[in-house]
Amino acid sequence: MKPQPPDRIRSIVIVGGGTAGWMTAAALAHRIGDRSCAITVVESSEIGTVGVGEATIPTIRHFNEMLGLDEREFLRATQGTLKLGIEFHDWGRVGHRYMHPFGIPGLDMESPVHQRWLSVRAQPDAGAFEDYFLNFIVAKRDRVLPPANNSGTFTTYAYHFDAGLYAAFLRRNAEARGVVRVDGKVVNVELRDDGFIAAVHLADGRRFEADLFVDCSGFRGLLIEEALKTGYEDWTHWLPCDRAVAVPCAHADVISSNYREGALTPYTRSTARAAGWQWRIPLQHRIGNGYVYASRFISDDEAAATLLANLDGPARADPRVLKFVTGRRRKIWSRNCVAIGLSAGFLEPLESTSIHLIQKSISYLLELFPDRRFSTALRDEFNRRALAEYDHIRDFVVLHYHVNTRDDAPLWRHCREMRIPESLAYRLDFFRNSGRVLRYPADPFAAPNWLAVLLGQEVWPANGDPLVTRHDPEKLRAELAEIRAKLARLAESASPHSEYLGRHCRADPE
Amino acid sequence: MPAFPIRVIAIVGGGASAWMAAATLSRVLGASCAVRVIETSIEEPPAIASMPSLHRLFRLLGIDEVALMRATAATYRIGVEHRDWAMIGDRYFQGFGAVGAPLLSVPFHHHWLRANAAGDCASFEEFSAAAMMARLGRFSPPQRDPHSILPAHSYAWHFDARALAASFRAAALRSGATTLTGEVAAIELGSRGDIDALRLVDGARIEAGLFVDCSGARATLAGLLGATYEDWSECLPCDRVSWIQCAGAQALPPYSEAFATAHGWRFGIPLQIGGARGEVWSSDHADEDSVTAGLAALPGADASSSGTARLLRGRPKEFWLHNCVLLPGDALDPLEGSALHLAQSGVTRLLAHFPVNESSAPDRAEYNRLTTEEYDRVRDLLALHYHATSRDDSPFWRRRRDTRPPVSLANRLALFSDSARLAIAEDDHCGQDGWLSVLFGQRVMPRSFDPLAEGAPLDSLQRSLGAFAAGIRDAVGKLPTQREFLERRGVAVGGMT
Repeated sequence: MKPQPPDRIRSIVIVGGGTAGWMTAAALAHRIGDRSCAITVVESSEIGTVGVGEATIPTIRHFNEMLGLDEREFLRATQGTLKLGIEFHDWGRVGHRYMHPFGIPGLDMESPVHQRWLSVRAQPDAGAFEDYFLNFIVAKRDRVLPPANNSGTFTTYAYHFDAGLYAAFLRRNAEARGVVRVDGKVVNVELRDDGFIAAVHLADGRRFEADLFVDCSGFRGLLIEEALKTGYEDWTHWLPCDRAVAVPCAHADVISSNYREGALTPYTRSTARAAGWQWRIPLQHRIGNGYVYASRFISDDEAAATLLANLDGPARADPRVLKFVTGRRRKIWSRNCVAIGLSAGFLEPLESTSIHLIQKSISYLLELFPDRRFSTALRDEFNRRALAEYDHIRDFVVLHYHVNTRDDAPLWRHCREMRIPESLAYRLDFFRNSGRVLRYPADPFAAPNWLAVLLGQEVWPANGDPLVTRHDPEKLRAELAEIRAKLARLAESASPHSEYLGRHCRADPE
Repeated sequence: MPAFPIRVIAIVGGGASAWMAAATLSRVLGASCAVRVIETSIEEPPAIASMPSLHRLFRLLGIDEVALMRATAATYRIGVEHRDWAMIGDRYFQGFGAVGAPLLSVPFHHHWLRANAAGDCASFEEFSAAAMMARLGRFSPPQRDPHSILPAHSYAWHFDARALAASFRAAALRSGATTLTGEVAAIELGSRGDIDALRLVDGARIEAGLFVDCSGARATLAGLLGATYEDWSECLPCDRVSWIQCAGAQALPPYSEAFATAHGWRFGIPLQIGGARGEVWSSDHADEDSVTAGLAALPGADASSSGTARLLRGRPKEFWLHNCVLLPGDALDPLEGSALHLAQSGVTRLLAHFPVNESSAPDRAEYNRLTTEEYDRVRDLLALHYHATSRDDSPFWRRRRDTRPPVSLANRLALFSDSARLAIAEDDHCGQDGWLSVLFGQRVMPRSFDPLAEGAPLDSLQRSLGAFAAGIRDAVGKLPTQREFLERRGVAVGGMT
């Protein structure tokens, strides 16, 4: 028997613009545009978008590369900066700081350093675990290794950018590839007899049919939830924060309206506060700030006041409050509708994963692109992969909250004493016993990421690895010293972040 | 003796897997831990087929490939030729390495399916360098030539089983392992259910902190510990392997043979001189005398060198129980040549989860989780051969039609049959293209393929696939034969036919 050609999807309607909508549109247009499939984005200029995740993780580069974006042009267009990691303040305990740098500790994957470091960490010259990450060595001096010379070294990086500008940049890209944008507000979703979506109706009476619908409508999930009633798995008991107040501010000591020459941090900062945590995301033209908090522990006004009292420079707008429920849909692909972005789920941006989740859903959709039969096997496989992505990230985010010794606020006691997800408990027990880290192929955060946070938050394993502890401690110390010397030499070629951006990708002042 | 830290590891077994485990553990653990092998008598075929993962082990142990090949009468193995599986008269080749190359970010096989749906197209294996080498009797290790048209391939080996065990044994002894010969009579259990010591038939008592059971289907320690098993007899019908040594074939093929028979399948493993032939069969449907007689009648067979051993149709529910690790890969149906791979993988994993304290329960749990997943994946690929067939020429095959595949295989087949998608773990022993070779070879044809494969015009796709297959055939035709290559590398031993 010969295979039959697929019964091809001829039209796709994406409901909602914003980062998710335009990332989806650009990627779909890139892969299936210029053929007999019409792609339409319905977005309302009346509805504001949530500026999700202005900070990213390194996988964003794969997405941009897939679209063939020029990195410097992209950074110029989005007021973008480079990001080498996240610095955590007051997590674990007040007064403590550590960095979760991207990349691997040490020089290569062949000889992992963390067990060696654990066995001699009490020695005065062992340094902190972060000292073994090239990204930290470079980032702590506000420097970056030029991406162009990236191949010889072991740095890996992501970006900070203005998500609204990124969406606009991708919109131009998508429209150039034939995506049609429709300005209008969806007021009704029309279902077929079999429960599939037939069309969406706009306020002005227009009706758009499609074979496939992508729900990028944000938290409310206009199609996936309101029309298809897919259901939501609520994770508030693990992640009690349910609001964020956000405000942009100027860089400190601004000379022009852009960042001051000489001091631009190439990392995100996250500072734990009594009822949540505050982000600081440096862009070229401003700094993005926000306080993610649990409304049962602090009022909106108090949260806004705390935020405004902790800015680098003057606020550039009024604080804006967002409400959310952490969790995810029970299915992300239901019938002929795939939810991408906040319509699929919400995980607070502690590890900058919002855009990663968008792009992973897009790439799973492209790998498992359906035809008009919409087979259940394909849909189940998509959901298996996409849901696992959310679950792994949830565990990583919960870890940050859970392993703390703070006694200054009820949120932290709650998080320390709560019953964590079983999958996280398994990982944590495993690490606490042997200092080893479990590896799941589907987890976007690999062993180095988990180690950076576990050791950064001072979770010390009870036992050493016998394969390492059998060696003479003097030998281990010498090996570690040599690794640090080599890393220091690699870091010599780094240039100041501000200088690098100024030379290659300076955006226009706002 | 205190169970921790572990000062002594005792390995029970005697074949290549046992000595591989001993060589690896003694090399990595060094003086911190003594490795003792209790050499028990073993029954195994005189030749053994391996998988490409063995390259990693050679690097770890510092084994020189050419020297080892000389010492073990080894030949190269770039895959397996299958015959008569889905239907009598069928043949297909499962090679190591890539088939085709992705196009428009869509895996190759979707384009191949599309061309197939539209008309004639070269067969799937014509896009595999390994399969074409097999067909044309050529061999070359992978070249790092970026301009080569050949899809990346890799290779493994066929070894003389005893000589391979002896080579690993020598490597183990060099890094300090010790050995004694004997049969285990009993185990002494400690208060926590751990093994304190082994008692041998001759009365010797062997204490150790950790025990490794490499005794194949005999499952010596597993049996004494009362290990329980998950039963796979429903999907893996063969529980016996019989073998006979044969004089050399003229052709010296760089691959093994797996030809389905009326009650199992027959293997051929070529060595530099001679080789092994044998049959893997079901004792529900055949008896040892008739199988052995059939083998003895093969051309070149040496009737004095035959033997039969049991195979395991299942896996332990726990691979690491108390302070004992079971490495039962040798006892599985050898259709995929996975015995050494599973032993190597088990030992590597044991080192990654080496006990850090007396119970080391979390590491043990994780070891068991990962090993269970690995064995289940191996089972699924094995089961696919017996499941995806329309043979009904014997009770053995008719019985296959009444059995259901394991749930994980059924799910995989449902996804594949619908639109040619595969969900393959990144550490799958056989890889996506290996699975595809078997699926297509077993006539599992999906209903449709990836719509994104329709990005290029059909006629240009057909032209480029035609040119691709012709280019591969040309390039492979210029490679040396295995015999030429072995001689050039100085591997060939004297007296090679």
